[in-house]
Amino acid sequence: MDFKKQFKEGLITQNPVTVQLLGMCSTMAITISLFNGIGMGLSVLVILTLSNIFISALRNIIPNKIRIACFIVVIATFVTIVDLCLQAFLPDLSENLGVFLPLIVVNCIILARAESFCYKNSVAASAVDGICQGLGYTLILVIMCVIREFLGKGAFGGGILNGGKGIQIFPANFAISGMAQPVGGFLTLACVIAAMQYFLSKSKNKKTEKKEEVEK
Amino acid sequence: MSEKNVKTEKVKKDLKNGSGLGQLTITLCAISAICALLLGLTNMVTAPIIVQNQEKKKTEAITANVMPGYTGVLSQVNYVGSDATILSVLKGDDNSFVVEVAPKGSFSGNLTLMVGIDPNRAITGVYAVSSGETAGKGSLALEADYLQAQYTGKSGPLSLGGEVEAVSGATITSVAVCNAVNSAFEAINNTADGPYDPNLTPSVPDEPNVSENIRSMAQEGSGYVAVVDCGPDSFSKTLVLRVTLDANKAVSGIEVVESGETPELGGKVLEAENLQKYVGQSGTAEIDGISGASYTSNAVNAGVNAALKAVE
Repeated sequence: MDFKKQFKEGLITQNPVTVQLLGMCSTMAITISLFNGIGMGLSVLVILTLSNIFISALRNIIPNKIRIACFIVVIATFVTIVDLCLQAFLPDLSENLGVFLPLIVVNCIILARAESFCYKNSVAASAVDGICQGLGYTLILVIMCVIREFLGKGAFGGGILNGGKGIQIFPANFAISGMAQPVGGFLTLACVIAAMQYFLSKSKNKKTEKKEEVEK
Repeated sequence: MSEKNVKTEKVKKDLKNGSGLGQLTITLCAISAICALLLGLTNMVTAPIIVQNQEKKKTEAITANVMPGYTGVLSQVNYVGSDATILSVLKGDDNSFVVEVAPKGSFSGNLTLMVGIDPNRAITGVYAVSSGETAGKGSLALEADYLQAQYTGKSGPLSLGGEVEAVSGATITSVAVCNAVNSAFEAINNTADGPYDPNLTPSVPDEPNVSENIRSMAQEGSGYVAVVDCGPDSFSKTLVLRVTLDANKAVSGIEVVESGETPELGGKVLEAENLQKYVGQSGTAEIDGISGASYTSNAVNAGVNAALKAVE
């Protein structure tokens, strides 16, 4: 269990949204205000970590043939627990997230990590993996929220700053309202993925260059 | 030692690769049972809080839109009538009502309204809780300004074209709203508590020194203006109010002409926001007193009721 490696993987090299291309629907739908983005990101982080721990703890008992069914049962349980807790203690966030909170059950990130990582690794490593992948997901959500809110409404920090209205950086009339619509979500996500892939390949090239130099 | 390890590994592998129906069933059931237990525990903890939150939200909607400024408790009463459009009837401790109605004949078929009715059977507010009416068309008949102007302060049954005007281009929705309001007035007579009994309307407390201290009473337009001397009951003995009454003999405004009450105590009763609570009341008027300002509260109350009595 290499915390540093897993942290780097979760945030950058194996980022669930921009590299693994998982959980994109919720990314595009939720990222309209910063409060929703952070709230959703942290909810996924909690659910991912809890279900990772649970599945990893049971990995030697769950038979291969019904492993997907077991994963879904466990994930659905934790999603429902988080949903009930939000409804009770953070009703505003629960209302804002709406149907996307129950949809976390079929969020590919959680199922993919359960299948590819937790089923074969220790509880501690799985827990760390859950946290790091959750952080990576939240990071992308925050980036997209900031971009879409700025371009689509001319604001920053919607739902959190300025008593919930967000700081208006320029009047909303001059904003591109399409950015706050689904089309804006697609475009923003595409640009973020492209940017990430560019920087990743650039650093990869640098590394191979360095390696060649050393070999020389 | 290594033999034990090999054995454990074999058991683990067998478990994982085992495909006997029995093993699959038992494992899945066991996992489901543990998950169900966790869910049950969470529900036990969160369910009461969620119910509380929902009630709070409903009360906030009521206090903000349907019965502005209402601070009492609303409790559900049994509706025993036969109108299927009545969803629920809530009764306040001062004999006011909030009726939730889903009128038939709305444009979208999906319209729920809340109608607030005060103890004097005047409407305090109408609010669309949920609606599928066309934005910009039917929705115009559900806007706060329209509902306030057409319905607030009036007593049912009402008719379109008579007491209430429809919105042009939104006839269907206007009709649905009017029907809902009339259904609400019917509903409050059909609760388990029995039909509306005027004797149940809370009476004004004993008015010790109220001689009709009406300094002047004049007709103004379709209503009346009364200048009332509330001094005898007040704290400073100096308190004169101008009470404006509308065509329905309900209070439409109260102004302070002269006052010697202590600003931070009795003065609170005389603030515009507080006097506003009398607006719409007729017959016998009452609002909540303000603690620490009983003299002034009672004096104002006596004065307003003297004015109302004078026009009966």
